[in-house]
Amino acid sequence: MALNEKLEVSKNQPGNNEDGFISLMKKYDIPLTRQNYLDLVYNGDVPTELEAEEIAALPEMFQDNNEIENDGQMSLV
Amino acid sequence: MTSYLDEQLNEYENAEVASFFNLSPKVQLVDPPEKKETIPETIGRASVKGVVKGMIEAPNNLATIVGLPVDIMTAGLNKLGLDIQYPIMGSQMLQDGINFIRDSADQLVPSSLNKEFNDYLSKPYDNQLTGQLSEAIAQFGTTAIPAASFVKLATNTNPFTRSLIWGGIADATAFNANDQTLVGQLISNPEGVSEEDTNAFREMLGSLLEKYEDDPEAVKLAKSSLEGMAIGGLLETAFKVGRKIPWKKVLTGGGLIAGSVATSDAEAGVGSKIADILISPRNPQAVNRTEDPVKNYLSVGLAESKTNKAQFDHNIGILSDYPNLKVSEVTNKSTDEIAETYINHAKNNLLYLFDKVPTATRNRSKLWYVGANKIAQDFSKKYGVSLQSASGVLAALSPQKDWYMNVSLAERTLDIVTNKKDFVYDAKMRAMGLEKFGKPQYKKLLDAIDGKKLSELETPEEKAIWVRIYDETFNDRSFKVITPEGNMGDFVLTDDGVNARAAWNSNVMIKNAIIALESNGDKAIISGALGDAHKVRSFYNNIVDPNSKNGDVTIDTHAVAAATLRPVGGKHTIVNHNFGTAPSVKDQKADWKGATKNSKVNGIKGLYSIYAEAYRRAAAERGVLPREMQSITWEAVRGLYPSTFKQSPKKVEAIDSLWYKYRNNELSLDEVINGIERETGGIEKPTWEQ
Repeated sequence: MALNEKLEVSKNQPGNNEDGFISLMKKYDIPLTRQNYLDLVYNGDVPTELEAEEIAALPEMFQDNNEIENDGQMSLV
Repeated sequence: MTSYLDEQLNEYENAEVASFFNLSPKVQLVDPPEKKETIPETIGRASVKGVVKGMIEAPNNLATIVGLPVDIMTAGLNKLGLDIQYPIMGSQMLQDGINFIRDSADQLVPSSLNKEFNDYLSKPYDNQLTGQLSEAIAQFGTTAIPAASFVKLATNTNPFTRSLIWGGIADATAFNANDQTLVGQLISNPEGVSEEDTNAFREMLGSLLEKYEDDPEAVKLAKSSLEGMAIGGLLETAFKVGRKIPWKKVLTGGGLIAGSVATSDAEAGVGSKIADILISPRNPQAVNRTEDPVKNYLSVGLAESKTNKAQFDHNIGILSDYPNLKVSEVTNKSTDEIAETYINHAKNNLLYLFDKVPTATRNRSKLWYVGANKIAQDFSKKYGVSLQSASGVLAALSPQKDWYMNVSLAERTLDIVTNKKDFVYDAKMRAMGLEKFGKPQYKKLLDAIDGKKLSELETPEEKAIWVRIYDETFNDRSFKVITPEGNMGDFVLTDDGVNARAAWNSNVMIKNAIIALESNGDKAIISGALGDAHKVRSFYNNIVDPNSKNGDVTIDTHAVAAATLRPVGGKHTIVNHNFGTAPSVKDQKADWKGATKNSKVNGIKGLYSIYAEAYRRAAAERGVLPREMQSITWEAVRGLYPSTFKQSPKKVEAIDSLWYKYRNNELSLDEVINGIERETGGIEKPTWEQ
C-alpha cells in the first residue's frame, strides 16, 4: 500500500481526525518514516522493543502488523 | 411536620417492637389490614422488619466490621448505646436494639422470634418498592449507626483503617451488591417506579433530612443508605461529600437519580448522572458501526465478542494453542465450547490467587481503585480540574506504567499544564530539547516552540513535547509508593537503594493526557482522547467511578498473567493477543502464530473481552466487584512473579514447561499449581505491606 493511501486509512483515529503527531510531522516537514515518528514520540529515546500497549498507541501506518484485519472503514466523524 | 418517619412510630410498631424485644408479646398484634396497606403502614412495617433484620445480623456484622477481639468489641458496644444521640428510626427502638444485642446474643436467631410476629413481617408489602426501601434503610441504619459510632471510638486510626471499617459496614449490612434494590430500580428503570412510590420515597427521605438536615449523622444515614444500596463500599468518600449534596433540591426537583450516585464533591455539587461520567469501554469507530459509543455505554464481554462470528472464531482459534488449554479440550470442540473452557480455566486461576491472598491483604488490595479515585479527587481539587479530567490524565498515562510512576507522571502533567503554563521556554529547556531532538529534521519543530510559553502553543502534540522537556529539565525524577487507599508512601527505591527515576511513556500518551486535562470533563472529548484500547478506557471508568455496577474491569499485562498464571510481560505473545496488537516480525516470540482480529465495527480488540468475562465470573463467585477481583489478583500475581522472576528466562521457561505438560495431559492442574508454588516460593507481600 502506498504511503498516501495508508495515510488516508489512518485518518480519523478515535478522538482525532488524524494522528496528531503525523500532522505535526507534516507541519514541520519531518519525513514521514516510522523511525522519525518513534524518535518524535519517544523524545529520541526509542525502546529497542515496543510492548503491546505501546504498539497499540501507534498509528496503524506504523504498526508492523499486516496480520490484523479491520472489517470497517474508518469513521469520518 | 408529620413525616413518614414519625408515622413509623405508630401502633403497629409499638406492638411489634414490644413483641420482638420481649419475645413473648404483651401487646396483641394487630393483623395486617385486609385492604391494601397505606404507604405509611408499609413504611412502618418495613422499618420494623429492617430493624429486626439489622439487629439479628448486627453482632456478626459488627465483629466483621471492626475485626477486633471480642473483649474490645464488647467494651466498644457498651459505649455504643450511649453514643446514639439521633435515633432516627426511633430512639427507644435503637437503644433497645443495642441492649438486646449486648444482653441477648443467644436469642438473636430467627427461630427465636415470635411466630406470629414473624408471620406478620414476612407478608409481602402492598407497596413493594416503598417497603423494600424502608426496610433497607432501617436495616442499614440499625447496624450502621452503632457501627458508625464505634468508628468514632477509633478516631485515632488512620484514614485507611477507617475506610476499611466503613467498607466493612457497607459489606456487612446485608446489602447484596447484586440485589436489585429500590434505588437500583430508580436508577435503572425510573419510569417503572410508580409515582406514588416515588413520592413516598422522596417524602420519607425529605422529611428525614428536613428534620435532621444539620445533623451529619442523619445525612450519613440517608447518604449511606442510598450509597450502600446503590454503589456499595465507598462510604468514607460518600460520607465526606454527604453534607455537600443538595438534598432538598435533589429530592424535590426530581433529581434523585443524579444525587444518589454522586461520588465526588464536584459531582455532588452538580448532580451529574452516572452516565455522564463513564465512557464506553468499547469504542467502535467505523462508518458502518451500528452503535454509538458516546451516546450509549458499550460494554466489552463474551456476548459482544460474538457479534462478529468470523472474528470470534479466529480469536478463539488463536487461544486454542495456548498451553492453558489441554489438547483434549480443543480437539473437535466448537468455538463456543473452547471459549467457555478457557474462560472457566482463567476464572479458576483467578480464584486460586484470590483465595491464596491473606484476608487482611485482600481487604486492602481490593481498594486500589477506591484509592485511585481518591487520588483523582485530590488532583481535581489541587489543580482545579474536573474529576473526569483528572481520571482521564491518569488513564491516558497508564500504558505500560507501574501505578506509582503513573501517578507521578499524571501529577507532573497536571502541575506543569496548570501552574507552569506561562513559563517561557528558556535556555535550559533549549539545551534539553536539543539533547532529545538533535537530528536536523526536528530543528523546525524546536524553533517553533523555542521561547514560547506552554499557553501559547497551538496543538496538544506541541504541548506534550514542551511538558516533557520542562519536566526533564527542572523536576526531580523520584516518585513515591502509593498505598491502596491512595496515600503517598516512601520514595520508590532501586535494588541499589537509591531513588528510582520516573520515566515518561510516549508523547502520544502525554498528548492524550493533555486533551483529557483540558476537556473540562467533556465526556466526548475524553472518550476520543482515550482511543480505542479497552484497557485504557476501562481503567478510566474504574478510576472515575470505582463502584459502578457496569462491571468494568482493567485487563493489563499483569491481569493476563493472573488469568493464565504465567509469568508474562508486556511483550509476550498472549499479552499482544489481549490488546489486539502484533509485534514487529523481528520481535515475535517463538510461540507467535498470528495476530488476533480486531473490528472497528463492533469495537472489539483482541481477546480482552474473554479475560473480562473470566474476571466477572470469578468476581461473582466471591461476591466482589470485577475491579476488586482484578486488583486483588493483580497484586497477587505481581507477588507470585515479581519482575526479577520474569527477567529470568530459565525461571519463565520452567513455568511454561509446567503448562505445556498440562496441555499434553502429563500434569494435572493441581500438579501445575504445586509446581508454580515450588518454582516461585509463593506469593510475596506487596510493596506497601513490606
